[in-house]
Amino acid sequence: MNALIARWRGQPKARTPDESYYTAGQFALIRARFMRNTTGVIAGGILSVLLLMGLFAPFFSPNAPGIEGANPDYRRGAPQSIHFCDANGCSWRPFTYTYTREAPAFDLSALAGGDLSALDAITSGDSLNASSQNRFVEQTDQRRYLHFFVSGWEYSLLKIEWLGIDIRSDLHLFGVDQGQIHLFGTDEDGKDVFSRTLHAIWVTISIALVALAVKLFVSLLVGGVSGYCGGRVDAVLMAITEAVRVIPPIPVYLACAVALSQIDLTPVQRYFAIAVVIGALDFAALGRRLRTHILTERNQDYVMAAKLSGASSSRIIWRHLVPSFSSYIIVDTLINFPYVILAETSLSFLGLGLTEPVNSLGVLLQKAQDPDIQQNMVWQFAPVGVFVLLIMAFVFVGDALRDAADPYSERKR
Amino acid sequence: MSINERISAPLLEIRDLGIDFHTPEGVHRAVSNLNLSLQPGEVMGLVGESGSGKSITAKSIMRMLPGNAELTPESRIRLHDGERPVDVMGLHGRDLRLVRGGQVSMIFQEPMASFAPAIRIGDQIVETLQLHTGVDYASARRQGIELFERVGIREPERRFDQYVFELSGGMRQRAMIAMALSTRPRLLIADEPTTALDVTVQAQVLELMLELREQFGMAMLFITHDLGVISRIADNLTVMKRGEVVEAGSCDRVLFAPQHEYTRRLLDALPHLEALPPSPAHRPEPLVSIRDLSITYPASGAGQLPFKAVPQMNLELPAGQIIGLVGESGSGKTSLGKALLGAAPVSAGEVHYHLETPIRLGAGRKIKRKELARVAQLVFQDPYSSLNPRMTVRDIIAEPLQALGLCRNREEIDQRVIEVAKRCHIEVSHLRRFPHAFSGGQRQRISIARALVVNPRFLVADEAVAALDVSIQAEILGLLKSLRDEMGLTILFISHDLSVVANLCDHVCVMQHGRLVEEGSVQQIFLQPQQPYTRALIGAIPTLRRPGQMNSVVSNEAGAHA
Repeated sequence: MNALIARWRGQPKARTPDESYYTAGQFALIRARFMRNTTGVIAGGILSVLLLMGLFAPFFSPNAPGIEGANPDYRRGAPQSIHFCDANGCSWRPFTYTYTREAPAFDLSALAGGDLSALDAITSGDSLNASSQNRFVEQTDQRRYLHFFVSGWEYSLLKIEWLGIDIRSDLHLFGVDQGQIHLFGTDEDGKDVFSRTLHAIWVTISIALVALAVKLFVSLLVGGVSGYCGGRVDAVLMAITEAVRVIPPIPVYLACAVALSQIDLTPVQRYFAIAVVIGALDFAALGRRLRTHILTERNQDYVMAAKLSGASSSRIIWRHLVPSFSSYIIVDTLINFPYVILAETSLSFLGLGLTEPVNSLGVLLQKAQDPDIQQNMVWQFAPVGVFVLLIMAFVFVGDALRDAADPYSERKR
Repeated sequence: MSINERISAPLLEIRDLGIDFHTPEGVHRAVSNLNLSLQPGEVMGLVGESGSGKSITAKSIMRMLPGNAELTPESRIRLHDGERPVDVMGLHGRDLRLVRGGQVSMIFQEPMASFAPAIRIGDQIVETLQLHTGVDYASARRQGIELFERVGIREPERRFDQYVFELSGGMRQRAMIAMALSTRPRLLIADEPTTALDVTVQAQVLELMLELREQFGMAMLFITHDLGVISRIADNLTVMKRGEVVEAGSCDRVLFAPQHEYTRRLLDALPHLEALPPSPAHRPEPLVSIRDLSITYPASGAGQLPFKAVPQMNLELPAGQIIGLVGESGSGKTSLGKALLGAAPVSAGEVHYHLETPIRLGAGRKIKRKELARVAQLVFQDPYSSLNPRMTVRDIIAEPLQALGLCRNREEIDQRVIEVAKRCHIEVSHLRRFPHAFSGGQRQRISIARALVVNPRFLVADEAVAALDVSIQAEILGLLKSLRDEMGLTILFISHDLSVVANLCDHVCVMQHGRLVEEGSVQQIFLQPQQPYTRALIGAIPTLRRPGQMNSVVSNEAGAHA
């Protein structure tokens, strides 16, 4: 692969011919250059694992993410560790233990006699505070063995309401033979943090997808029309673009949140509406760049050649101009992904976007600012780690792709 | 002028020079085992095609190699200036900077890119002078203006305070020369200094360089691909091919008794004005008639005037011939070529194609693009930007067929594409490839194949070989000739290179400032030019000098001023 790239970089005629390189199209060249970037490849691996886990979150989650999957016996519970060996011997099959809540350490019967000092002792001791309520004891003699590809709670694998398609399944990657398993612990309602995080990835990404699709559409429209028509149309459109660019986004989002609260929507629908607004207002940068790109590209000799060959405008646009910036659009979209996710999380963080009980990374992050969680349930910071990993993966893949994007940029003249 | 006979220590001595390029694929040797020595006052010509390593050799003398290039350990570069020789390889920091621009200066091909665009030209020269001689601003300025006068810049005081974009190409190159001479270098390296210039300006600049050599007594290393140019100026020649010296010796010996086959090939590519083909007895019927054609570009912005590129042109293009359209840059020849294809704004007059179904283009007429595309096609100058890098060669060639809907199905298209590819000497197996797999000459063939695929009657080749090396030029010219002979194609060959036109064309039209100056058969134009402008153009062609002839730039008529 490296040799292939090097050959492309050098002067081709001096090298030994390599047919696969010569017949490599645009995307093959991009892929070859991308594969050379180790950071990008690693980030790409992490990203695809995260995306897969998000897309098939129900399959990877041992517990339902909502309140219906909550474990009433394990509220505010710490992450459960997985073992292969313990004092009772080893096992090939990994296992966890049964956890039982510690019995309350105070004696209410002492209050029976109306003894106020007993009441005082109970309230001033630490047995009533929150941290003492999620003390669980590992019953090391009661193993719970981990099983793979088990059936558990039912979910819909594919659901398209307006087509009436609803494929349901209850298969899960893993589960324990009795009770529930909580790898990242549980929150105050007993909901599994691991399952919530996985589900949150997909909600967040789908919102980002909507926002980016809207953004792309508006950018293409504005940039494409502006670049292809030029002249007065271009001047007016670019003036509007600049005007939109100076509007600060947060007040617009606030206004939208208020306006949308008047309409009866589910939290997720409301949020999708906000995503559309985010996307629609964010077209300035990409639109302008597309315009510049089209302006330069349409003056290239090969476009002139097509014109003189009798090609129609639509043929020139679709055969020549669109492919010339398709790689650019893909890269730009990927690089912008983390920013849209950040917008979502920051809105949720401010309480404007999604709120409990919806699972989104923003909601989970917002929860993590609760002092109770910071002191007593640090495991609820797990979504923060996943979030950082996701953003970093996007950034690195985007960077590597940008470097690889235009295989013709460095060509020798 | 035989400086060779004077016995003295050489000014520049290069021994066993090797230059390696470190690429991701491995080490690529650009220059190997090069020996060269230059006496004081000698002019050495370094000749070769692109990629032969001549520029990189010159840069290594100034130690200006790019970051991934490295001199081999056995390389030696010595400058004998004054008493003791200086080993350029061992110089660092201040010592190196004193050599650069002080003892050795350089002139580049593109003067526009060699001057800082936002600093006045004079200030750049003053800066050089101050750095190297430490004089104060006022006297540096005085010296600079004096230099401007000596390199033949009129109104030197005014030009001195102008920016580079305000000067014409020839002026810029003169200013560049003035700057290079400002520190009285012992050695001047000139890297294709006249390649980007029009032929008459080229002659003037060459003459100037010869004069200055006499006056300043400096040695020159003159790098060029053009043997005609170098034959007029050099004492000795070194011919390079793929990083190796293939032939070296006195100019007369190399030019008139070449030993190496490669040198002979370069010489063959030169124009031979003595051996022009005889013009046909009767002039064929015209294929295209141009009547009172005016081309006016609309004003580009508020407050600007529309630009009239061609006013009132009348011309007939004989069928089945290659018609050369020559003129200096800005003479309107490209505009005329584009107007014939309906791609330039025609403000008056018309273009008439005499065909079974005649086509008329003109002011106010709607261009029937599809009809026109079937009979007239264009071959571009730049073989890189004229092919869409995202399409395979097959798709590129097939494009006109698809756009015009000339074929019923894929098989028919493929058949036609293969037919044309063979005609243009493109291997059929290469049709699956993308343009990045090909060199300039091969790309130009693809471009020609695309133009031919619809079986046109008329081809406009706009500087179609200007970007190619001499030996590749010859192949493309041969292809064009065979197209004329075998397909009866009429070709309008637009070029600023008169020697190519003399080799290729049957009929020549000379343009200046948008007007037709003269037209006639190639013999009439080159052997009996009538108009003074044509005579000046022809006179400025850098043809090979005759053996023993004294160095002079302009061959027949000295008054090369247009």
